[in-house]
Formats: sequence, structure tokens, C-alpha cells
Amino acid sequence: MVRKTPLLAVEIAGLQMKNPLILASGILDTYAETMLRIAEHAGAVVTKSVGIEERKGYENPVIFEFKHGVLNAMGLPNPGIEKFGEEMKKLRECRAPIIGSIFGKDEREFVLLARKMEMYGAAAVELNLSCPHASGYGMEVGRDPVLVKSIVSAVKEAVKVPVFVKLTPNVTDIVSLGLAAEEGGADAVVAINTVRGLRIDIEFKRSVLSAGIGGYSGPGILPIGLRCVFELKRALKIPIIGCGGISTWENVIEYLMAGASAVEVGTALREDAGLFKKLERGVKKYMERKGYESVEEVVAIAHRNR
Amino acid sequence: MPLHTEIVEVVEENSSVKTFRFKFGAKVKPGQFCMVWDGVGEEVPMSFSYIGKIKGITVKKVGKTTELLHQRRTGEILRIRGPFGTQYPIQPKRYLLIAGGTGIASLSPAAEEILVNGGSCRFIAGFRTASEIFFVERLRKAGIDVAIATDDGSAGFKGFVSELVKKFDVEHFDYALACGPLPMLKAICRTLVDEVETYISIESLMKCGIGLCDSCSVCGFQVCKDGPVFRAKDLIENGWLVE
Repeated sequence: MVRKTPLLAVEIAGLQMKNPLILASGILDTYAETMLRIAEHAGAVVTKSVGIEERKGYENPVIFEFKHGVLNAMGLPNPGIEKFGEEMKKLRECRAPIIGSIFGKDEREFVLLARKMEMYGAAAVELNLSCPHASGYGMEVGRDPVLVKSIVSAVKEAVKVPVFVKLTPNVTDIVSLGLAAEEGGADAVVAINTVRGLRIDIEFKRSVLSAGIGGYSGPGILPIGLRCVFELKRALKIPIIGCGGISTWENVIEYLMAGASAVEVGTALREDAGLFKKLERGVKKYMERKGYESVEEVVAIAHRNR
Repeated sequence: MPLHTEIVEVVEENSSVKTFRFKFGAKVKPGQFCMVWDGVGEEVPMSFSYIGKIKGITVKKVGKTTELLHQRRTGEILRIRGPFGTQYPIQPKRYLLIAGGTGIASLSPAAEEILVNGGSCRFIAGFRTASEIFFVERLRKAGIDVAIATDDGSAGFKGFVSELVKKFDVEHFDYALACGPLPMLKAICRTLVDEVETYISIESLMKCGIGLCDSCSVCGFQVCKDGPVFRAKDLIENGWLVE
């Protein structure tokens, strides 16, 4: 039998990817050289979240590793959208699509940033409406469905590239945010960003992070991310990109079965820089073993088998 | 997992440099670093300057955080994350070690390990002035021949280590290891890289320290994970020396 497309190839809102594995925002994605290296094996790469002005982020410590994952509060460090143009220029040779992640405090900022990213050659924009630890940004904007809808529709009107919306799990009802994004015209949602959390240093009697509360990522949040994707899939028509806690190819399959059309991977890269290659191999072998001919066949299968 | 440990000794190396010694069970290789936090200032990356049973970091006062660290006394607590990063190659071979300023902190354990492993080394250490010299006695006591360079000529050769190194016949060495300020490392590489297998340790500001945040990226490599010790040719092939 001759296949028309490679087994793992996926398309989301017109974005052609060689596999459904995307580098998540905030991980190894500030400099073009690093992103180019990751893009060798990833289906797409999301950039660091970029805002209007340069931000240094919070003082160290900004990260805390423990048995079940990582807690971080970086504070959205980024070079600002003007300077980031230099990195995007170097990424033009990249064969994998580059998705420009942006954060703003209102519609006006999001529109300006999205236009810039489009001009720089981003294949899509991802709206960070979910960072859990930067005052005035991220989930502080993104937990209000009315704001989410209006920001998404303003950005949709302003750019031609697909618009993805990264949702926060730090709400009672993530589905209402997903629906708001869909109503605003989003081409896909990404679920989830980190989960708000805290650890205390009992010797120093204070938070382990300079910013206090941070975002929890890693294997511990896998069930939360899967649940969010599962719930969103029942309610939304647009594609869902799953994110949160993926460290093995089995986790990727779980996300696909829960309803994700692709996945984003981040924290697990700290242990294994060659992770994308391993995930790709594992997913492919599983699909061959089970006789699947496309990723699409796996998507949301768990909804049918209950 | 981070470890809290008591400071067991504080040594004043010169007016702006102090060494803090503490117990830390993990095996540390020469060139590796840790993230150090005193619970007051910022968490900062520090090379291990001692890697035996009692480990050490050597801190130069350069800003608010290091000034706060200098106030720490014996019995107070440090939180250590690590050891992180790559190590210097240690083999029974002939080494030329080149340190600029506090770069000597990272290279001293390497020199000691080279001797333990049956190798030999010559050491070139550069300082701004004679009063800033530290660790040289430690190396000489271990039987290492140390040549000194000072910017003002108050001790040893007058000038930069990158100039002094040109007086050495590099054919006599299998490896060159260097640690110090970036301009010094680049100058050393231009002189040595075609003559001898050269490894350099790069100092960088870091946020996560574990290869996630991309804040310490150099030519597509993460200093915290792919470094801090790099084979110079690997960096140069990726454009490191291009201005």
C-alpha cells in the first residue's frame, strides 16, 4: 500500500507539520540558534512569549525542581517585540513552522504584537492568555471569557495567519474559556499552561521562588492537562493542542486519544534534549503496531470508547 | 533536589574574594557548577573551587548578591542545587591551564585532579595586581608550576595572560584548559586552538540552570547544560569567534 502522506504528518488550521510534536512556549526558545536545533525533530516550535517592551523577569530563584515536576516564576523575560525580530529573521530558513507566542495587557497590545509576528514570518500566533505569575498579563487577562473573546476577535481581524489561544487551567471552568476563544474566531486552543502552585523553603522560611507563587509543570500535571483536553473536546469544534506533563510517547498517545490534534512538550526536555526524536519514534511504532494510517484516526478515540 | 548545608569555613582570599566551604555529598567533577542561594539575595551560579569531601565555592564581590553572600558566616545555611554542567577532560596527559582572575577557582580542582590521574600541568594565572593573587600557593603546594601575569606588573609578567601564553611552546602540551573573562578566552582561543586541543569554561548569567529557559544560550548551546566547559572548536564551528 502506498501512503499519500507520512504517517505522523498533521495539519492544524493550515499549518503543515511533519509530526504532532510542538516545542512549548517558554522552553529553549529565546534564541534562533536553539530553536533551529529543536526544529530538526519537532513538528513546530513556539517562541518564547514576547511582549511590547523588554522585560528582565523576576530575580533568581525563578525555578525549583522536585520529584513530581518543576515550579517556575520567570516573570515573562523577553527582549521585546522589536528586538525579537532579529531572532525571527534567522528563523526564516527553518523548515518547521514557527509559532509566535505573544502576551499583552489588552486588545491593542495583542493586535500590535500579532501583526509584528506575522510580518516577521510566524506561521501562526499563540496568544498567551494563561501565564500564571505575571501581574497584569497572562491568566489575569485570560480567565475572563468576555476578554478572551474580544482579544481573539480583534487579533483575528488584524492578521491572516492562524490564531491559537493558550488557555489557563487555573479556573473553575476551562470549557467556558475554550468556547469564548472559539466564538472569537480562534483557529485552535492550546490546553494547558502551568498550574498555580507554591513550595516553601523551610530553612529560609519563605517561598522557594523570588516571586512567591509560580506555575507547576512536569509529570504531576499530566492528569489535569488530559482532563482539560477531554472536556474541551466535548464542547469545541476547533482543534485542540494538548500540553502539560508529557514526558513519554505514551503520554502523547494519551493526549491524542483525549482529543488533542497535536501536543506541546516543554519541561521534560530538561532531562533529555533528544526527546522529540524519541517521542516521534515511539508514537510511530505504536501507530504501526495498532494499524493506524494517520494521527487523525487516534484523535479523540477515548470519547468513543467509554 | 536542592540541599541545605551549613557553611563550615569562610576563607578571605583577598579584599574582594572569599571562599565558602561546606559539606555536600554528591560527587563533583572539575569544571562543574552549582546554583547557590542564601535565602536573602539572588540565587547565583558558582563553580566548585573544591571538589573533595568538603566542597567549596569562591565568590568575588561584584554586585548586590555577592556582597550579601560575603556577609555569610560559619554556621549559616546555603542552599545548593547541583552539581550541574560539563567537566574538564581529565586524563594522564600534559596540560596547560590558563586562568584569568576568578577563573582560577574553577581550574584549581582540575589541576589537582590531573595530577591525581597521572597527568602533568603547567599553570598560567593572571590577575590585575599582586594583592589580588589567590590560590597560587595552594597550587604550588600541590607541586604545580605556576606562572603569574599581572596587568600592572606588580607580580610576574606584566600584561595579560593571553600575551604570556604566547611565550609557551604549546607543542609540549596535549590539552589547554582556560577559564576567565570572555575577551581573554577569545584571545586565548585565537592563539591556541589550531595548535592544541583547547577546552574553555564560560561564565554566564543563568536563570534556571537546568537547560530549560535558554537565558544562557551561546551559539545554540546552553552554557548551563552543554557547558560551562566546551571544546573550543565546537563553539568556533558555530560562529563563536565571529565578531
